[in-house]
Amino acid sequence: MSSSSVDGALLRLENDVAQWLSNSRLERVTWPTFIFREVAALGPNPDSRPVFTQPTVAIQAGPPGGPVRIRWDLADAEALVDEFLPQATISITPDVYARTDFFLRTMMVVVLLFAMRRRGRFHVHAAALQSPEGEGWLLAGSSGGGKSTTTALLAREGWRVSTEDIAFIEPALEGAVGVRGFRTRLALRPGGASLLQIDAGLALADRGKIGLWPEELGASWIPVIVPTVIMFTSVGNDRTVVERLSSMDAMRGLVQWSMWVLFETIGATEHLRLLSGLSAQTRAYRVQLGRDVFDRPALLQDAVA
Amino acid sequence: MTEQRYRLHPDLRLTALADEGVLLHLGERKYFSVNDTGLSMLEALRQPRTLDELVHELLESYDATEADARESAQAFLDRCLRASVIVPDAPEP
Repeated sequence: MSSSSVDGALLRLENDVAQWLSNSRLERVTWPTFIFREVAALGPNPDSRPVFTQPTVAIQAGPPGGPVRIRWDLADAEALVDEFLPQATISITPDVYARTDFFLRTMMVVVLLFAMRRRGRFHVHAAALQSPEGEGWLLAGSSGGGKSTTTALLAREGWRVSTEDIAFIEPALEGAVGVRGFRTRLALRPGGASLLQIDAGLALADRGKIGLWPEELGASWIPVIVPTVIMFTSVGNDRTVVERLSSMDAMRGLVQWSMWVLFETIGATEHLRLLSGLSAQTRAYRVQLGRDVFDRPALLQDAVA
Repeated sequence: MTEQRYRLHPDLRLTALADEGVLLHLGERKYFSVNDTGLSMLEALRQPRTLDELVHELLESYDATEADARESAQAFLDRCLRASVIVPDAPEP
């Protein structure tokens, strides 16, 4: 039984986390164990390992070992992910309750990524889709690099969507590498939504975006794809430019977008092996997305055929 | 006096891709790639090796003179030591 200073707030937060995981459609048996406790304030940080900062979180992980420590900076919260097991203890202060959506999206997602490593599932910051012909595509790149807009565009063309940007690589049949998607709403910036002529969807006011489930775009969700194409996307101007990359360039790109491989010894060998397998089984491209792709979505498929 | 042996740094992870090598240094959070010769030397260095042993293994795999192989192996060891990719192997107590 949880207890919180704000009546029922901790229980509601736990329910929100469970709902978030349920919506993701990750197999329930793989869900990590999250233990929440409310604290009045976080104590001083006893961890002397180097701090890696990301927007909203500070992470301490890796040699010489111990739990992964993740601190949130939008309100005081700290997660300790067990060194070996897929479980985390998360200390939160009451300020977190007013920012649950942010907490899920910017803190819990990082906790999840480290916990899932202990399940042999390794995160890649990428969208994952499957064409109507059954070809798996991975779109990797930074936020604002066109992943969500391209995913929405292809979703409307009958592609199946696995994830917009939280992909986990795992072994698949016959030595291949599969990608399991964490289902979330596609979060479209106003510019992307305008190009797609989308004016419906949930207003994600705190992010200035519009959120749509793949099904709202006429697509269906698919749990796992086996990629044969990787695109490292960025947003260009009028004309889409596609450049073929070598397997080694693909590997460099994947390490960049799966950077947790550099953080911890646990799982690192398997993570590296899967990234290498993914690089070897795919054709990789650097793609600068232009406006022309909105007039002719098949342009991307034609460019990599 | 025995010759110095070297081995991969314990925080290093190594895999092959398209006849090249991909290295991750978890302590340094760095990524490296090496060519096929470097990959074969690093594979050998999973076990402690002396310079002479590395030269011998290079001569078995590549068509080179001993002088060239020694120069290549020495230069490679120096680069790897500077990057903390390998470490001197401590003798057994």
